[in-house]
Amino acid sequence: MSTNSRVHDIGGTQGWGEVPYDPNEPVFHNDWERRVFGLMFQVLPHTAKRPGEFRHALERLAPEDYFCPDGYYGRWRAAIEVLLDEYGHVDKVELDDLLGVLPGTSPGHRVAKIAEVPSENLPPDRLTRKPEHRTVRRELEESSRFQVGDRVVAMGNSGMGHTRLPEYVRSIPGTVVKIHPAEVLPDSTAHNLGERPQHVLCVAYHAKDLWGEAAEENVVINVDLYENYLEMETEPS
Amino acid sequence: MTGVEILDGSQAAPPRDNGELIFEAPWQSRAFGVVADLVDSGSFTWAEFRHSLISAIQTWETLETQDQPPWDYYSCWVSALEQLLFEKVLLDPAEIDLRSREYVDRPHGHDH
Amino acid sequence: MNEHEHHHHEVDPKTAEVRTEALEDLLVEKGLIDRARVDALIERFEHDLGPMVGAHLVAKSWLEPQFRDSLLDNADRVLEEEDIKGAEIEHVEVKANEPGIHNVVVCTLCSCYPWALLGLPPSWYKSPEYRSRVVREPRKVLQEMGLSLDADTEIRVWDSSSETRFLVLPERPPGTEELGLEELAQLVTRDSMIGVAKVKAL
Repeated sequence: MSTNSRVHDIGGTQGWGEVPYDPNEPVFHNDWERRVFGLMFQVLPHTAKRPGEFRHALERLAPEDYFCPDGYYGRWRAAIEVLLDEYGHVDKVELDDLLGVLPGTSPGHRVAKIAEVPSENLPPDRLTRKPEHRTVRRELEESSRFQVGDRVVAMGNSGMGHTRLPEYVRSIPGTVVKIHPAEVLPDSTAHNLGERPQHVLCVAYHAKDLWGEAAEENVVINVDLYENYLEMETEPS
Repeated sequence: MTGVEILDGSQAAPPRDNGELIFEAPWQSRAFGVVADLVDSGSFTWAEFRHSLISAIQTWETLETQDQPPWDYYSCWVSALEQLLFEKVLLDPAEIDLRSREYVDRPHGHDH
Repeated sequence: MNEHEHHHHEVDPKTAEVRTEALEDLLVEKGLIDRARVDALIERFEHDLGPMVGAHLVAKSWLEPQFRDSLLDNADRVLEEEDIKGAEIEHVEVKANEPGIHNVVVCTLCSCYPWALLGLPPSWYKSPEYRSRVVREPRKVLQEMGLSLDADTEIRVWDSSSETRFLVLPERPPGTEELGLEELAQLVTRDSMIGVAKVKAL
């Protein structure tokens, strides 16, 4: 596993039960969820400003904090606590005291530290134009190394750090079906290592290639992958 | 987001269907719009309105069964609005009573 | 009989409807609210927030083939022309369901979702059950959620792993030929635009 993460990358993992589907559930289940939602907008401008930083804070949570009983907003709350500590706004020891919990029990004590990501794990940086009314989109002069129809394999790099390469597609051949607009590379921006913008390719995988012969018939999984994750398939299957 | 999400996640949450706000009649959306404009122009905050709305809902809940009208979210909404306007001394209860009575006495087909 | 006799409605002046109208008029007269602003706010809440943005795009696609083609070809340009902005729409792709092809959207890595088109995401979309299973056994998951697709229908799952956000364009249900834009938009549910449900004619 190449991510400095714990358990967020769950596509295709097994043992989960039925989706807790309710077509008419409320936007927030209770008061504190709503407050966490609002709090996020207040906290981010003072902490995780760069693309991928907040997601990476979530990813570094310990399993019991990521899959806490408080669910989605529970982990947001935990990530907010982590960021407030890491950015020096509210120390985690002080937080335990403020919350009136046993010292050493809040999520900030269990979170994985941000990994040192070596620059050689990342593609080179380049100057680009940012289109109007966008934040992470960039315009690249060079075209993509790939074109629609290419057979590609996503390997990513083996280092630790934030990434948007889901494990379930690593090393499986897929076909490029579309080229999306280029974006800054979250693997880099989350670690404050520059933008290193990449073309984004939509790669289609057959379910049987991902999950084996027992997979459902007639299923295609499309995943958006940053160009630096990809290589041409060397031995066509 | 807009600030109205402050109502969600509590007793004061407006009815929604698959994520969307539901208005069963035009007066309900007008009541919504009036509150939104009062908030935007600074007469009160969504937080204050929410407090008032929860009070109005609790008042309804405590009515004796024989006196309790059927549950209607936006009726509570309007009560909450009135109450808050009185507290802020922006309107007088007598004014609303009088105007409401005048409107009831209007002939059919009035234009509004 | 008095020729100016009014017909008295058997209406309690306290009914919320009358009260609302009285309130609005009084507040306008006192300069505390502005009627045009109230109209604009209602418009915004009813149409611009939550799934109604997406629903209008879908309904318009059903009525205007050229609009549909533009939306499928370059959704960003259409959204710009329609003046739709907001959180989480750096780049949008619209995927059309048609006989034999069904699209469904997920974010396995976190819970990315097109907020500006569909409002806030439902809990189930963010649940580990959905995130893990819909890429592995989508037909079964959809069945459990109430949507049965036959074995010949290709299911295309879109995992939102970049900043591209996906919107499913569901099929127009039969029996809606006489309906106009607003009526059609009312039928389109958020869940059908994520891809876990079909649109039903009422």
